[in-house]
Amino acid sequence: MASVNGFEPRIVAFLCRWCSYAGADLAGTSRLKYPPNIIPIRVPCSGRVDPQWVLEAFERGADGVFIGGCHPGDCHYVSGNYKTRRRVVLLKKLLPQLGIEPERLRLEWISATEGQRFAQVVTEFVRELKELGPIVAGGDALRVTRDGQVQIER
Amino acid sequence: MKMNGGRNVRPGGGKDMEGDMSSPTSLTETRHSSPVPRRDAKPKLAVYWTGSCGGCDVSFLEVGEAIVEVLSRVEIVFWPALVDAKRSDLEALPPGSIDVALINGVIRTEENAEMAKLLRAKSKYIVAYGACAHLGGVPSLADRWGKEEIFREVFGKGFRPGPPPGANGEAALPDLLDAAVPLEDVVRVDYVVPGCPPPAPLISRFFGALLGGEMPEPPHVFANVKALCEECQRVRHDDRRIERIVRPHEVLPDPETCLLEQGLICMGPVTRGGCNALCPAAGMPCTGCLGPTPEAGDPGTAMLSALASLVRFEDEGEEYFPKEDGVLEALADPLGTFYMYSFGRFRRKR
Amino acid sequence: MKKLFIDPITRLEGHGRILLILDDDGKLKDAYLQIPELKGFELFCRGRRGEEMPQITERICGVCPEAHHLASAKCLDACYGAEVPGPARIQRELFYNVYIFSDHLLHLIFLGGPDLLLGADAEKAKRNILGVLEAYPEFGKKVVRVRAGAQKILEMIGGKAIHPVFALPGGVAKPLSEEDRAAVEEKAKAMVELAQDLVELFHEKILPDPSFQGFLLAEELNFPTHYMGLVDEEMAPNFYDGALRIVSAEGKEIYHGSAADALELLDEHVETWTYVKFPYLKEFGWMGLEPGPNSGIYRVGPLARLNVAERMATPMAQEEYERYLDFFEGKPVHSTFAYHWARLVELVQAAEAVMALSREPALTGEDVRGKLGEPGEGVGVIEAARGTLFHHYVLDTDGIVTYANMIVATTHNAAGIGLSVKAMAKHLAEDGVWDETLLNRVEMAFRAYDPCLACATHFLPGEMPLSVEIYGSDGKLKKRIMR
Repeated sequence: MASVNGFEPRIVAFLCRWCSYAGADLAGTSRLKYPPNIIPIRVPCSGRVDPQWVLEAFERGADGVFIGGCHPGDCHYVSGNYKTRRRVVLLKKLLPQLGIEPERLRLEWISATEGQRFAQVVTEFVRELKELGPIVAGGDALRVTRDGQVQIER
Repeated sequence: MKMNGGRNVRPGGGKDMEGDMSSPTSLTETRHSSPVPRRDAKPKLAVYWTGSCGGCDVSFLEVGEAIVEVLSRVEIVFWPALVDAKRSDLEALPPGSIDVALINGVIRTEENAEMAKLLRAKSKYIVAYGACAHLGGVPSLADRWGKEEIFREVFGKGFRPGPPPGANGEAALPDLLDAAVPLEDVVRVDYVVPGCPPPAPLISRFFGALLGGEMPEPPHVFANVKALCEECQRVRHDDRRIERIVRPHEVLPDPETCLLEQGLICMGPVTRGGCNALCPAAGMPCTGCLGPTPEAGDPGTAMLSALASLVRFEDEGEEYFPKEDGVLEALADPLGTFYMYSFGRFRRKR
Repeated sequence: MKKLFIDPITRLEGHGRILLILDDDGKLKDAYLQIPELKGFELFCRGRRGEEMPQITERICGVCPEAHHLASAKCLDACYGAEVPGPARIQRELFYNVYIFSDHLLHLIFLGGPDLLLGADAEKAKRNILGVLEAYPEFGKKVVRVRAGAQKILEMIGGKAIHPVFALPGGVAKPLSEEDRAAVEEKAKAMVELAQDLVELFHEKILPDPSFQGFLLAEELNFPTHYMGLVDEEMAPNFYDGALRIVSAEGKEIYHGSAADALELLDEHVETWTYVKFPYLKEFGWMGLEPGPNSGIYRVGPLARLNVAERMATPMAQEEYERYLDFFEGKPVHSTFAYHWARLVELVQAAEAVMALSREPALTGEDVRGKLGEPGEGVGVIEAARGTLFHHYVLDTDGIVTYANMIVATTHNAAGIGLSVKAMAKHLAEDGVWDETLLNRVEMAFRAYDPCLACATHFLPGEMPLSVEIYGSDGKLKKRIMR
């Protein structure tokens, strides 16, 4: 699916092996169509995702970063995904200060049986990123105010 | 403009200065394998400031009366804050004739970079002294913007540095570099004495080693490898959690308990010790000036992870999400909190 | 045409170079003091938490961090509409006077002082603290010891001596213990004693020196400017707080009122050959780098404070002030080198103030935090060792900085310093022989101001028209290029 000006977002996707990676596999074996913009990286748990990797992915030009974890309560390591969730909350506060729209980071709970959902979510994410445009990290600093508005600083 | 001579920046960085420290574009460089002067020798010392505030130069006096002895046991060949040697005197020195040059300040202008390289060529050992030389320091917070934006903000549109009238084009004002960078991005650094400014115990540690003929093999950082928490006097509880995040002017903290437990964002867990935890003793959270522990790597993402782990209630689960979010929301200015001294080293755009 | 470069200038805080342009006969054509540093604090302070500003802005200067720390705190007090309770106020004021003492002492012994204590003709290698320690071994050690004691007080109250951490909007971090208070009082005694020793030394060694007297009274070095400083209700200098008073070159009061409002009276001028800008009084306009009662150039710092005051706040300082005014036969005193003497008078007042404040019972009080209102805009003003310092912030509803501007002492003095350097170069240029000691004397002209050049590269942001001005050897404006 070509975008209006030919921009194809590149997404780094950290997928936990117990749930979301299996879900992505299922999408594949089910021959579900979804945009090929993701670079999947398998991790043992979404809680393994170091915030450093997220920032580095953006610094190296990723237009979006996707983290797939197990549904709350289903984490193979009991509470890994709870840490992930809180890390993403904090990352979304830091990203605008680096000039990166917080929507470029997306966390989803996807189980091993949710192949359909995986395809759907990726399709949605690619569409959103096409609208946001390519990443310009280090551009005008953005601020997310208390009521959730994203404003350009200065 | 690539300032690091092609060396890739390690994202997890700060591994106690191990790894590749190769210097880029310096002039004639002499690398001496023998340790710094024997006990009886009077080492030749240079102290120089680049993009500094002057605090590092004054910091030497914080060792108190011991400074008199230190000064008598070194030969100062160049130190603009205190003695009248000029740049031409420095240029006239033979390469490698200075035993140790302590350079403080962030590399902000072309002149700063030139002087750093000049000192590198004239010195056996270079010490990155203070947070700016080590990590970029507070001024490296400007690295969110390039030099054009700085000029525009400060002087208005169209400002270009130039020479004074009547000087025939000479003596032009040195241009800013596009980013304020740590010293290691410009020259090979042998030692680091960290801090903003380096605290007296670490200054003593350094001079004790230098004058005692016991300098460790470079590269070496003169600070603890363990985090500040190890030496902080405050009491930490094993089952600690953070159930609220507050800012210093919002609370009068209990003087005995860990500040992080009380909801103040203290960078202690990811910061090197060696300063006797002065700030927590004064009732204020550590802001991370000694730089990250080798274990932590990037202090910002390390602290972010730490907070994500510590912010929780008596149990975890979907029903706690809104409460957790309420706490996390109160973290103001993560960038300034996490990278107050180290933005230049870890997060500047490249 | 010949160019002489003094690079770098030494024994001050910050980077600077002096360029002397001579004609073929060795006569001085022009002199420029160039400041090649710039950091852009006003830019990166945006987005920061307001309460961190005392710790962020003090990194503008590590020689006077206390000045920024407390100017920032006062600005935050205003932003939050907070009233600082007694114990916090006394902690701040005591701390601040210790800082003034220590900073002035640093200058007298380590920076500008060596030229006076060892003579302007002292050998280059000795013209520094090492030379002072050699020539005055016992006294030198005493200075180091007393200064260490003062720094210890700063650590006790401020957390750290360099880059303190204790000031917050509406107050300070924590109460001071009785144990610490007693230690402060003990150290204060040593400070007052040293102040007396310094006065004695000044009158025995420095003032009688014919070279020094020569500089003190030289016509070129006595050019008139206007003066600015904070005064208390008795019209005595107060470093921590007060009303702003501006006095003209002829000694007439131009302004006496709120320091925050006084910002309206100032404007600035830019040159492309230096990163420092030149503020001036709008009322007179920018007449170029020219002194005089009709020029907008004004000065701050010890010389200025003693000109805008009518008396000193403490007895020993008052005594020395009277000797000072006697010598110059009244005020305003315009002499560049009088800065050194004025600095000494202030050092005495600071020591006496520390003594008095250390005995205030409220100093150990528990009430150290004033009530905070909603965050907004505010201005804080203080007298740094080098002169008047303004901090101006706008905070949003979350207490985050959206705008910050700092106008520092040495910036106010930028034009004055330039004029003194030029005047000194002219004064020395008669025989046209430029050797190293002569060049050092040119440097002595800026050292009198105890400049802080890291501080000085901070200014009002804005869209000022740029003008480049070329002066002839007669000091008259030859050409002005506008952009």
